[in-house]
Amino acid sequence: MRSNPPLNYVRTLRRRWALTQKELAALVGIESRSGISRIEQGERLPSLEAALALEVLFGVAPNTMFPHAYAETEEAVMVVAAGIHDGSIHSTNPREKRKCALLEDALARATRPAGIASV
Amino acid sequence: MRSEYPRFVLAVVPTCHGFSFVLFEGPDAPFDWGTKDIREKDKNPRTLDAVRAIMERYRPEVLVLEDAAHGSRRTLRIRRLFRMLSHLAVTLDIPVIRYTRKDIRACFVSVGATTKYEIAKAIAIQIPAFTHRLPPIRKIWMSEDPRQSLFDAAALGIAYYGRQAGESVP
Repeated sequence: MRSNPPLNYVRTLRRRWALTQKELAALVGIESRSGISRIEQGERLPSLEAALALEVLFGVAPNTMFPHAYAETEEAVMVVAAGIHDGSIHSTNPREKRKCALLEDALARATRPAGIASV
Repeated sequence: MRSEYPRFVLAVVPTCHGFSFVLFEGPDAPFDWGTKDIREKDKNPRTLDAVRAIMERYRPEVLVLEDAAHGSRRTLRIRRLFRMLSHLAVTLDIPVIRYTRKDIRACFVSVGATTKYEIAKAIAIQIPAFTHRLPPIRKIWMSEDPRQSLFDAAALGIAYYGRQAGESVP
């Protein structure tokens, strides 16, 4: 079976609230309905402004609305964070210790966000 | 990237115009839904292609269909389509669950819903996303509203979750 495009909840939320793609595009400041269509199909991610506008509109955070994109970003950040953490864990320098505390917190938080169903 | 998808349940209801489907992420959480008109004389191959596309896109854990074998009055075309859909699911390694209309009614009896309209109304209450799609009560001289099939598909999905939980309506 071919690999699936990343899922997101934009289409689900839009249809839940009986909005058309054109209406949603106007609400979140995207030029055309095809832009919304591409976001819904997972062909592109929204701009930061559009992602924030979607959160303002639906009250759902971007990490919940775009779980796959969030997971990808999280994984990329965590790989780098784990490297920096491993390099500075034995340091006695207070700055390095402070940095380690942040990275440990981030690594502990690194879990897949809950879906809409559990929101 | 974490590749695991949510555990989707796909319910499909063929109609004389095409088909309706509801893809559930949970009993109260439809992820995608729709009614598709197939405007061709031989509707089954196109219907099958459309359902295959949905299955390949979302990889549902289970396919829920109406049981057309026991006392059903579905046409030969629809019965053939049910067999084709079952075969498709088997080739994609997706288990198929079938419920008769009696099974569906039994699932909704605890909320006092026995007719198709009452069941649709109960679903509209349970799933607010469908509230604005609730068709009007069908009079005896009216043909069935196309939106009804969406609620029939939703009823199949909800019955699946209800059976899984060992309850009537989840």
